Amino acid sequence: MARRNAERAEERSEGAAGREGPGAAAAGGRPGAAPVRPAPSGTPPGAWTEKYRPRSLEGIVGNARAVAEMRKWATDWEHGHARKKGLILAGAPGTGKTSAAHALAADMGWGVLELNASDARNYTAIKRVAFSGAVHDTFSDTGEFISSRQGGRKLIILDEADHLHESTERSADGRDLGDRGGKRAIVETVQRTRQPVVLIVNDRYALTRDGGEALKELCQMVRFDRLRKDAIRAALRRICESEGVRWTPEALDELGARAGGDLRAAVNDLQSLTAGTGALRLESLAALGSRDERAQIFDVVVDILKGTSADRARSAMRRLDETPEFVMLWLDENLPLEYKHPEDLARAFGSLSRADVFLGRVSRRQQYGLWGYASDLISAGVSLAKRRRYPDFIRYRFPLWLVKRARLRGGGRAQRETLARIGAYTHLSTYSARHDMLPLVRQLFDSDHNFAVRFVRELKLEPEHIAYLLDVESVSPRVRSLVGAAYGADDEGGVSTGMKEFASEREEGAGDGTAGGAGGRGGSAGAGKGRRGAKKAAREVRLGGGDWEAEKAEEEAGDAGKEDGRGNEGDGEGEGGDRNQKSLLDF
Amino acid sequence: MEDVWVEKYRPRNLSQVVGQDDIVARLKGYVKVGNLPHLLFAGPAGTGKTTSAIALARELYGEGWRARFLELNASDERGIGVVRTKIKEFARTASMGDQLFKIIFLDEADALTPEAQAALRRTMERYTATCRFILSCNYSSRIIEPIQSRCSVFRFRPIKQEDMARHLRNLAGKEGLRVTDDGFDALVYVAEGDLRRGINSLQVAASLGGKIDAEALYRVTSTARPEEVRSLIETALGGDFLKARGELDDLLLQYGLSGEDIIRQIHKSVFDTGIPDRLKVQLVDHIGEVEFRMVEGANERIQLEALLAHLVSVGAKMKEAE
Repeated sequence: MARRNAERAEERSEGAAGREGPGAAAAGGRPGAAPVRPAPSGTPPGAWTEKYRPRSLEGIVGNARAVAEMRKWATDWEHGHARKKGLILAGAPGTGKTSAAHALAADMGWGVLELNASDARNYTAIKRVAFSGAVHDTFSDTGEFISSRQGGRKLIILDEADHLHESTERSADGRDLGDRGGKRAIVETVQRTRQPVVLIVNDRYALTRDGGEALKELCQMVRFDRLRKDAIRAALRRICESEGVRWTPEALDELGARAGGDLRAAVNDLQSLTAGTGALRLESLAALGSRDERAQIFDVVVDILKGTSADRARSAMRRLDETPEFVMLWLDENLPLEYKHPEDLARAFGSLSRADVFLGRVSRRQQYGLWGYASDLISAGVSLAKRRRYPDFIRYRFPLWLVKRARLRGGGRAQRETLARIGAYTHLSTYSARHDMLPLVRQLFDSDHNFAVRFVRELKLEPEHIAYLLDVESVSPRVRSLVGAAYGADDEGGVSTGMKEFASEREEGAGDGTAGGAGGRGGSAGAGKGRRGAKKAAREVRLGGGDWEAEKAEEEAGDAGKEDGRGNEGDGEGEGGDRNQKSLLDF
Repeated sequence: MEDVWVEKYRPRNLSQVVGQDDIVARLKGYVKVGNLPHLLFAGPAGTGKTTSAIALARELYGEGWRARFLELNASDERGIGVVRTKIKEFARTASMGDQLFKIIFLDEADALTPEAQAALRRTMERYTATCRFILSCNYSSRIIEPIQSRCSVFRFRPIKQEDMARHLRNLAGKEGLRVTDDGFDALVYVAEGDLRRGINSLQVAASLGGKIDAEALYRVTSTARPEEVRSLIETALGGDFLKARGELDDLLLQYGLSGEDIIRQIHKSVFDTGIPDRLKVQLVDHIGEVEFRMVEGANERIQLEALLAHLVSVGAKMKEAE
């Protein structure tokens, strides 16, 4: 495996120079110096995504700031005073990260050593490939001499560096079980190599935690944002012109909007839609979903809920490369919209709940063989649960449960911490504290000010905790007065010493979030956090599936946090830790 | 601060433990000889498991008991790894004085998976020279046999009505409360053998001011939320699945109820609904299955949704029959 990669990398660095694509000029590249990157395996020959891949940083669509940062870094490297040895290009799929990395190498006249992390994942593989050309950049591991270009500088590109298949499972006595040290290899590569390194990730948090922390110091983070739809539209238009494709403005608009910021997806769609006809019309967009190799979740939902054939339902589910849990979430949301008759509804949910029993066994006993039963019960079971036809057109929707749950997560921390403190005080688990003690404590907070003051002091509660117990916002006058009474207050009723910063920080936080004032939990208090929380749900979905869902969740999130004046900046700071696929599954 | 009565009146020694005389007698025996085996306390909530463990430690070690008593909660300490680390650190520092061992109290031990329990068993063996374990759980059947066989098992029973009544009267006297006789009856009734619930209910009622009688007590205890659960059932029986699901989501998210809480409340409430008796019996079977599945690790929301969908169809059948 490692060998194959190494060879591929070598070929890339020098072999392909003659294969200049016809699109290079169109993309505005510098044809002379640019080695052309051969299409990765799996990409059909003649794919426009390769043909029009920019050969120079100048051709990168959007993300001007990221491009500028890359250029600056590379120039510093050439002059030997780069502050960081590596770059981490982080961003959603199809935003130009890989293209930019290769274009950078081309612009600088550097060779390229590429390792796709999802091909060869483990420690030795990464090291062999990386060091064969990097530290000792004269011989490949097959023994062939590699002629280095222009002083032998090579850009090491580790693509999909966050998709290392690295398990953090540990055995009962604490040994690493599945951890094969891919991350360690990356860290070492960056530390030891004398070559510039670019790491490409979708999820920067996945890379820089669990052993990858050192990368934060070693590398400069460059963010690639989703592309604006007009930028995508413009890029599509250029391709249409170059390919002689006729288009209507509406169709281009729609295609640009549908891409969800992913230029690669848009270009692929454009190519498949215009194949044979040489024209792009709005009507042809309708065919997009069904023509797509990877069935969209919508189609699966349609096949299962509208269809009446076990085969159709099962094959729909098989086409979709998703976990049964994911499909179950969607069916769960949309079933009641479709199956209006109570008996059909009950039968369908009965089938889902049976499937869930199998899924529970899968996760408890790690018996993945049981997935098949769950899948059949979800697909065929739900499909055949109906005795009637439901011809009405139903607008299927994104699983709201994820959004609702994400919205509440912001408030979750205050709740958890408060209950943990009450639990510690009364010798109970947080779980039991919630059931056995919370009603009492809330009641006493309501009826007995002195109790509340003493309780706050004794358990060292912070404003959020008090707000949780009072079921109000953390800046409410009652919270302030309790904080003041418990920790000492000045004359204006403000808060003294350490708690002061705390209170003012909260105030700021709520200032732009609470348009409507009162509204209680889940209302304005939750709004500020709603956006971030739901964005998180969106990311969780993205882990499991296509970007469309993620976009949709972000839209939902937008609704949740409309009062929130801030931009999209919050990328879930500090929340990376508990983000994993599992959280999607325990809906 | 001892405004929370369950803490204020938590027994300081074994003799004060309510309603577990046999257990107390055996525990006192351990104090007398100054040694004890590993213990397993099994029994429902509010029956004195934690209290007995702490009281035992106090009597064994006197004032310095806290230094020799480690309290862990298995349902909060995610994974056996955390438990083990803490246990290791605690056990490593040798105890001072004439007592050779320390006590590790692991509450809600039945929250650990069988695998984690197996790991715990090895930990217990490793530190047996310096530590004694007291495991506490609701059901001893959820503790794997190898652990059970290493422990002396103590079964805590629900507090008997007369013991509960005596204790609560005593407490009310100390707090200077005036509680009517029917108030005490109501208190004993709602507590269902759970002394913590009895004391908490009394304190909530007292905090409202006014007369503490049966009516006041039922009022405060019913604010515990079966209202919402009943509404959930009614909505589903009325045929509005989406609304019922919205209410369910609120219970799970806003109120933070667990699936097991909700299913038990549904069980209790079913007999108060207008469903024909024969259907009630079938429904109870169904509800029991749902709880079983949840205990077995199924997803609580999906299971409860399926139950709601079933209720919708039951409601539709009832309408047809009319």
